[in-house]
Amino acid sequence: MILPPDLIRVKRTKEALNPQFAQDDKLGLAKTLIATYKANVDKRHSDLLEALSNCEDLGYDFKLVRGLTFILDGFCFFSIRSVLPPLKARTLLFEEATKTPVYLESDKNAVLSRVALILNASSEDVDESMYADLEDEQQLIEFNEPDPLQLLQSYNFALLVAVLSYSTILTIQYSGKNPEIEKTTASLGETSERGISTTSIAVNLKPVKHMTIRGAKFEHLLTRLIAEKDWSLHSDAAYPTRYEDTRVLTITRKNHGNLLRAEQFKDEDIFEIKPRPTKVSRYGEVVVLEDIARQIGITDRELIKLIDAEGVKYTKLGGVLYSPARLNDLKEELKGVEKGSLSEVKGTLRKYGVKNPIAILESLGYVVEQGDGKDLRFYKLRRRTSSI
Amino acid sequence: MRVLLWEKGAVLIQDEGKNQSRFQANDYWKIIDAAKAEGLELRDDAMHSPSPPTLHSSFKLRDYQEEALIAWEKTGYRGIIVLPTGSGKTVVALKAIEKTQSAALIVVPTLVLLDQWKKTLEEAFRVDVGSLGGGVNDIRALTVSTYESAVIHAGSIGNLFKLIIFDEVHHLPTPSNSQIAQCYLAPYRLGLTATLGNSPESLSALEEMVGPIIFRRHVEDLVGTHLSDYTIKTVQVPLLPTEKLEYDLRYSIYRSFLQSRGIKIRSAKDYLRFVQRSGFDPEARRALLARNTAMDLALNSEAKISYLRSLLRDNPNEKTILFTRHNKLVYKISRDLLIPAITHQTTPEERREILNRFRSGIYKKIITSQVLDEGIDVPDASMAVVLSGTGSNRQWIQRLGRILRKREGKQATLFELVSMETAETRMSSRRKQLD
Repeated sequence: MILPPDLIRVKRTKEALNPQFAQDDKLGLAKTLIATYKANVDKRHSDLLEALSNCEDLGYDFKLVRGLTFILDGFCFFSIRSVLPPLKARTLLFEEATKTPVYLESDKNAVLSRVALILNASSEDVDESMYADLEDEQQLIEFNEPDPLQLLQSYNFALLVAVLSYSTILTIQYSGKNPEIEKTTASLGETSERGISTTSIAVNLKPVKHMTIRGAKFEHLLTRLIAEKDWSLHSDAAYPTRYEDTRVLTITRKNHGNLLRAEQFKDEDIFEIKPRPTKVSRYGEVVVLEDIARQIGITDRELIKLIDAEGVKYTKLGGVLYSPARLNDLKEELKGVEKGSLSEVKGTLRKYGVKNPIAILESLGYVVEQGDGKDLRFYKLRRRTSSI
Repeated sequence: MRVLLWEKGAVLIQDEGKNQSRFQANDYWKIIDAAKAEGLELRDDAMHSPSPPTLHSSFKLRDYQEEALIAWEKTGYRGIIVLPTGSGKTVVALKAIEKTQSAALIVVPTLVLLDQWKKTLEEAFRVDVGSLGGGVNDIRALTVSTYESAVIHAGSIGNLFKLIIFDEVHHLPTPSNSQIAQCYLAPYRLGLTATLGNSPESLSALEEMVGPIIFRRHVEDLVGTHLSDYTIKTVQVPLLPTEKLEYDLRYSIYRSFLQSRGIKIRSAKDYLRFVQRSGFDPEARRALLARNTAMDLALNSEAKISYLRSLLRDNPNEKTILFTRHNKLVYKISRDLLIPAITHQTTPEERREILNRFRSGIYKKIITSQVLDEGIDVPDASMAVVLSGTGSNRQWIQRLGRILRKREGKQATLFELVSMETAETRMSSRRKQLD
């Protein structure tokens, strides 16, 4: 992960550039933010945003607060929750409102009642469903709560990657050899390498148009570097960009190792790909677009183009591309749970890279509804028999 | 003999000794003109423009469109035409293509406009038209491209077109987009816009990249003859007492901060400096947040919504477009008054459906924030209500343009709702100052 440029926090002195890492004294803030997310599970995105905006008044640098929430967003799953299909509900409302224009609340209520009758639902359901698909209205259905220390470490890692993206010269040292590190440094610029028991690589970085691609490469490099037994890096970074001259950034395992935590290696990601006779993409048989695109520093659309160029047949469901074989597997597994709670199938779906279970299930012809009880996380699943 | 060569966005002059001088592709026309003037022999191996089939459309130009086209011809097929929204800029462009009978690239700011232009060109000339953008890479003698894709492909297609038309040309003078002007050979250039803005830097850059402003008509010039008569009614709406209290409190925090630091906000640059300061100065940030809250109250006040309810009740049969600055207000009004909404979150299919129903009269009212300001063909309306907006004159003119399409007996009205005794009044004055 890489922090957006506007959230970078550094101190620039005459000689050095020091990223403002989040230390133990920020554990309280980390706990507060995590608690805020937890408290907003099953609530609307806009409620969460409002609660987080209040956290910016806690006395901490707002860039730190936003940086931590940027990381925490990665632990969240949002989904549309509505009793009725939102587009259908609002289209009917607009159509009915052309017959008797709405100026007062009572006019609106009359239209709501008529549409509710048509859709065999309550007025409240119609009203709530109307714009349930808006980003702000989507609900936080799952928050995989991280450990507060882990949050700070992930933040520090993302901050360091962001600052390193402005490097002009980079030198790294580590024990032994690592071909992945060598490959990544070579893609960043012209390298010179020396050492036998300790490897030292100097990189003259190529100027780039797209900082996101460079950021992704630094993320890849740093992930591997900090997994080494001993390591250090020195960078000449031109940041903030309004200054043309560079400052030295020095990071070592001894001083910073315990501050940093990387995501899993890309090649150890969640998918287990069995060999199959049909042609598959180099990105796997289940491609979670958002994740892979972010890892390689391109947009979802660009990733789809790359996969299309490979000439591989895929089906796209809710932000995930499935090979025909894996889609069949998924359908087969779901057959065993024709009816039940969402939590029962969540594990199955997660195996298939699904972040948004409701969207996938609906794409596969299921209807996802809120349960009868007060537990908002309880859902029934049944085969779609008719559309409303 | 000297030879002109093309190399990825640049033009090279190679002399007999194979020595090469390198120039920006934009200088191609100057080199050709200079060689002609000096009587120098020059072989052009740079331009590889395909010949389109004979292009002829049945459109008839109005008098001012004809004048604009003649002005463009006189300046050697280079220059910028400024015409109000709804006055037929596209028709002028079609005739410019017809006039030059050359391969042409039309550059547009959005994918929606790309589709619209492609359809218009295909219907007008009955030829297949290429497109570049949104994942499509289909180059033909007539091609429509987004600004973004034209930049990306400049190195490979920059020598294929003799004519380049920049729709909404005010998008051109950015560091990225200006590469199009620099990296394409096209000696013939036409810029189209409703409002150019008045930044001297931008105007001078546009002149260098496209040519001078060769023709300009304001809305007032065409009202009554080619555009509808219209009235602008600015309504000062008092904030509700609770809103006013909150507004005054928040705005005073902002003002006190400026006074305490001796900061004067006289221009957009001054304001930008203040915003930048808020990135490292907690007091400045507090002041910025207070100002934002105050402006939020002024722009999106409940009092405006109350006024809107009565305005709509008094004008039930007018086809009306409501404009806001923020999506939040769009959806609030859409929910409260059950008016179809279009924002950046609306899918293309839903947007098309809403606009079709608005065009056919099924829907009498639609509400939008800023996405319909430009780049989407919006059906004609007779009434517009600007609930809030920016201080931009361009946005104001574009919004006004949405109700000016001429129709027999039509009298268009634009209502501008401004929160009384707030900073929004200054914003309102600013947006009405002409270029």
